[in-house]
Amino acid sequence: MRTIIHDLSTKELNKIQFNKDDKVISSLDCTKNCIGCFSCWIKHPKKCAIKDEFSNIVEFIKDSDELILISKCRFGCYSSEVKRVLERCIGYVLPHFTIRNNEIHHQSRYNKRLKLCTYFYGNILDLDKKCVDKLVKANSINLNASEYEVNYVDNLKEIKNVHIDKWKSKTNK
Amino acid sequence: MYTLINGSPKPINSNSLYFLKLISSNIKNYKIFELKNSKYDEILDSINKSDVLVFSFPLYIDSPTSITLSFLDYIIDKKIKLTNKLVYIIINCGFREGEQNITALKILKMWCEKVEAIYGCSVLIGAGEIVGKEKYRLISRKALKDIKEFSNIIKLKEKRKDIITTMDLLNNRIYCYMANLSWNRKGKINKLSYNDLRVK
Repeated sequence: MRTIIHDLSTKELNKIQFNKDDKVISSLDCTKNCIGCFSCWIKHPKKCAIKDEFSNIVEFIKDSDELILISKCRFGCYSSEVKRVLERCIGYVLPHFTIRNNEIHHQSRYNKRLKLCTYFYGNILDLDKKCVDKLVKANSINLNASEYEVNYVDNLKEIKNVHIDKWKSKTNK
Repeated sequence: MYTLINGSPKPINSNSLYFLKLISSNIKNYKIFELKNSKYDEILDSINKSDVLVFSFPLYIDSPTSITLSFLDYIIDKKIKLTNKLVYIIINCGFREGEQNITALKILKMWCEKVEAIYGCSVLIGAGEIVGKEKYRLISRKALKDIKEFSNIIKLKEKRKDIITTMDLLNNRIYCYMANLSWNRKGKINKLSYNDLRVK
């Protein structure tokens, strides 16, 4: 199973093919942001205190082999919409710290290691890409991902091609 | 005039606001905005009248908080230019190393370029939960001194090298140990054992 978090409109989304068991989450449906209450760490672990359809998002990610993010890139970062969903997911890791790569990071809650795969679209300059590469790498270390991938696409039509090709080849393995 | 913007989504007692208040004690003619409950038009109105902007936010997922990003996205999407305005940035994280804020800083620097603002300087604070609490000031002396220096840079409206700072005393290993004890204690207050916190 894969969890896909995106910020695409329904029209754009329809151009992309997904696997049957993919959990596709639109960040545009997430209207409430994390308020840094740490409830998902120390009150009712894994569960977000904000009551909406994103309260149990960690349960989807925990069962996934791959976390796929599709985001517009304006200045070297995820869109605020995709980022809003990511912040609701921090219960996926533990509040406790560990030392990884000589830096302090959060301990993993789960033994299973995710693959983090990202797609950025928009008018992306080389300088933006440098920023994004560093960000996704840092995210993958914090999530203790087994591997990570950063892809840039000039337009959404390309996302469709990249996705279908890549995803098909993965399914065949 | 100075526009100070708090990008922490916490309802009360955010460390980011504490840092902004430390800065504001050293300057005159400023306005502080809480991004979580301010109207963008009011903030933009203040920015228009200001020559200096100061952003303060905690590091969430190696990047600015989503409420900060929403505001930054809005300015880009509306094609608003902040030509010649000076931007200063305060980022704090829960990790001990202030260096872990660098990914988020790079994002803000990119944004400054796109909106034609002038990047002034930043202070990157590690152990934000310690340095950002007045009760821990005795083990945050170096960081508080660095923040004071940063506020002087803002007062003089200068461009300077970024400042990276953290709490005194502990190395990474001891910091992890102490922080983990503190998480367990917080769990206990909510009647959750060590294993409850680690539920899969």
